Amino acid sequence: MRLSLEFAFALGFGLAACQSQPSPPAAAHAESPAATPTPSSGEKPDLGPHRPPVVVRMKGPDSVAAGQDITLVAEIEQHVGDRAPVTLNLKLPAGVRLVEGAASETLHPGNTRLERRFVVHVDKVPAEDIELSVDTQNPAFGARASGAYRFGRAQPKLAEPVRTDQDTVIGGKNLGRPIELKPAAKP
Amino acid sequence: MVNGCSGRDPKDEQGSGGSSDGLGGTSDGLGGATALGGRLNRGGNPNGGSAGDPAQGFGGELATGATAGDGPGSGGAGGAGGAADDACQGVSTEGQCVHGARVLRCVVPTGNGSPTLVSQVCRSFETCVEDADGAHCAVNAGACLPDASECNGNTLRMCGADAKWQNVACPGTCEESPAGAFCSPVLATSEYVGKVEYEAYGPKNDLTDWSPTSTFLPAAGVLAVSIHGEDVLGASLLQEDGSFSIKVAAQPSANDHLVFLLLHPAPGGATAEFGVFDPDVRTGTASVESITSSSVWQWSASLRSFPSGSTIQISEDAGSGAVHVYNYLRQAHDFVSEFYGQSPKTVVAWMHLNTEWSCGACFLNMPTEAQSIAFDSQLFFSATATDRAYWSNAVTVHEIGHYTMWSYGVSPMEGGTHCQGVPTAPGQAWSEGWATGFSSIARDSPVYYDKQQGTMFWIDLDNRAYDDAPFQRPKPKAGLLQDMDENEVAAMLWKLATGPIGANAVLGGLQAKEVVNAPFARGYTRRQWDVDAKCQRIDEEDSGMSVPMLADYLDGLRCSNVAASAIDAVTNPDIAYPYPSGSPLCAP
Repeated sequence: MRLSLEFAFALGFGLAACQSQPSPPAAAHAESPAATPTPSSGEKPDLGPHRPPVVVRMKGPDSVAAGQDITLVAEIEQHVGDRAPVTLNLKLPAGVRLVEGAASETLHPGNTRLERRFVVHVDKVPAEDIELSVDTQNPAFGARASGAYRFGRAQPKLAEPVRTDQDTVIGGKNLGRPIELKPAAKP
Repeated sequence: MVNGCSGRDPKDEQGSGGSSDGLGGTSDGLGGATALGGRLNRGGNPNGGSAGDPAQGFGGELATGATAGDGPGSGGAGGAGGAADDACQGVSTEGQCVHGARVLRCVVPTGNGSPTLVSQVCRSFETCVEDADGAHCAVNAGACLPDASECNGNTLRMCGADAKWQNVACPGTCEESPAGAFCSPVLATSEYVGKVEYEAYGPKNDLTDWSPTSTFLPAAGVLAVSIHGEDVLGASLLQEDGSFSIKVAAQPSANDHLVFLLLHPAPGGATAEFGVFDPDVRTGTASVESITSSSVWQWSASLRSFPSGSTIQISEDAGSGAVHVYNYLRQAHDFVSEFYGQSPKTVVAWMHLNTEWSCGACFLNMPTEAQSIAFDSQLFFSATATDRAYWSNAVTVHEIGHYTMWSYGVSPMEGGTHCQGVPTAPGQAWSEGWATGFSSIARDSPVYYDKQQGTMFWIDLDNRAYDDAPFQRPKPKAGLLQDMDENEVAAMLWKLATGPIGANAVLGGLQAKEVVNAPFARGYTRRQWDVDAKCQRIDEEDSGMSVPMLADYLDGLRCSNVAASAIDAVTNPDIAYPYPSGSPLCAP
């Protein structure tokens, strides 16, 4: 059996650790004047009890208009040891085409943080997101990280159910307002 | 997709057809009525009985940075200063009383929470006491908990704000429920029968995301209450298949409805054993200390919209994730109650849509009140649109594993940031490893899965030890008290449970004398630390308090006549963890 220092970083190393890792130079791509990368997705705190081995954050301009070239920056944190392959795939919706950057790529294994830049031309602003997925797996673990550029749209939220206007009071104890259920619509 | 999983493909464990952790599965399937403990012989705990918490005080200077709360809840956290400081300033997790009117307690969330000193001011009708449960505010003799209610025959006793009972003669009958007692009015009634289901999702076959298709599962154990205007007509718990019957008005009006609450009664019906509550906290990221008010998760169904005989469905858009957490909490509660021979301590689970907790998912051994219902401990589950982590049974049961350790055994309560794949201090490795091992044993699956930060990921405990496995194995020369990868501990437990000694011995070992009675023979003492950018521990402080760790647990197994060869088969002492199975330290 071979023990590798890299194993210490396998499987979801903390963000703090990633920050100490040297980032390889990002692939050189022309910046679009319209592109001011700002957080678009994946700006989340570290969570427990276990942490994911790969995390993707997509950044791009806050707004975009048809006819523009925009630059998207994908930050990828990977903590997968030195054996697990990591693959990247960019999925573009209709109305958007890739100008620069690789839509798919196999990344080197290891524990690091890196960036990839993509320039896309927007023929029309689509309703769908640009999605970047990063996959890794070996016999002991696997992960699919997903990041999205949402063309300035708000982050998705869970629906807030409608509550009734009547508190539930039992034995003088007010337990709050219930969510109102409706019969399922008949087909 | 997956290979080399010791002949087991996680796809087969997690899939949507006849798997052990997937939709429609059996032992941990969303469709299984007995999802927990599919592997387990519920014949009881071989060690029998339960162990009390070690009554070990830990002195030290009182916190100067602590801020007293001004209400019944926990007060402000104090003293969580620089990394080199003891955030709890010498106060132990068991806590201590100050002048009989205030509790100081060091709170250590599991997961990635940091130890925090919490101050709680006892109310005018309470006194701080220190006993086997640690320091806590206890209601004075003769006083009652405001808003509490109970029946005395057909007299409803309600506790006022002055902590004194007030009697109300019921015109009809007085009935108790976990939400409190109530007078049931004199009214022509009939029996309503119905069924409640909730929408649930499991992982995709390849574990890359949640399945796009849902199924409806019975909302077993949910409390149904019949409401007529402002009166309560009856209360009933839903059966395993989600069915129920309850008294309703014979002539329902627009003011007649059923309410379904995620609240489970304690024996006697006047209090609750567990519940899932929706706290009033901000969306985004919230801290576990930020809860000031809450409502129990509940749904209302009008009798006019849902006549008797209806099947009532709760969709994900209506918050069915909370029902799923409740369902697993209920199953785990039933399972550990039966296995360990008594009910665990009470617990409230907090979940608010579009909020994730700063600790991730975690367990907190701090008592609280939710709408005047007292709970001994707390669980926190995040609920965001990106991750919908409430569908991760593995995570839910991991947290319940912490709760189980605390309820029936002794938790090291060793806090501080820890990073996956990086060996951590022995106490934390034991606590986290137990929780993950418990999750796998209870779900009968070696695969742990979760979704965080938009990443779905899984870990297979059956594959831990070899070149391309993710676990950092122990080193034979590093001794028993070496840092450990928590997944290494989890894998040992899983392999013990699936090996010759079986799951009963593994779970029962939580109560062996060697792992519950302080001082613990292997001599480990609780630490506290910060971590640097490489996730290495820095500024570590030793509390000096004896706490259990893996070797104490293995001593417990050996001293309960588990064969040395069974232990060696999972510790691999020659190449990994050097536990001396031939010379266990047995408690007298």
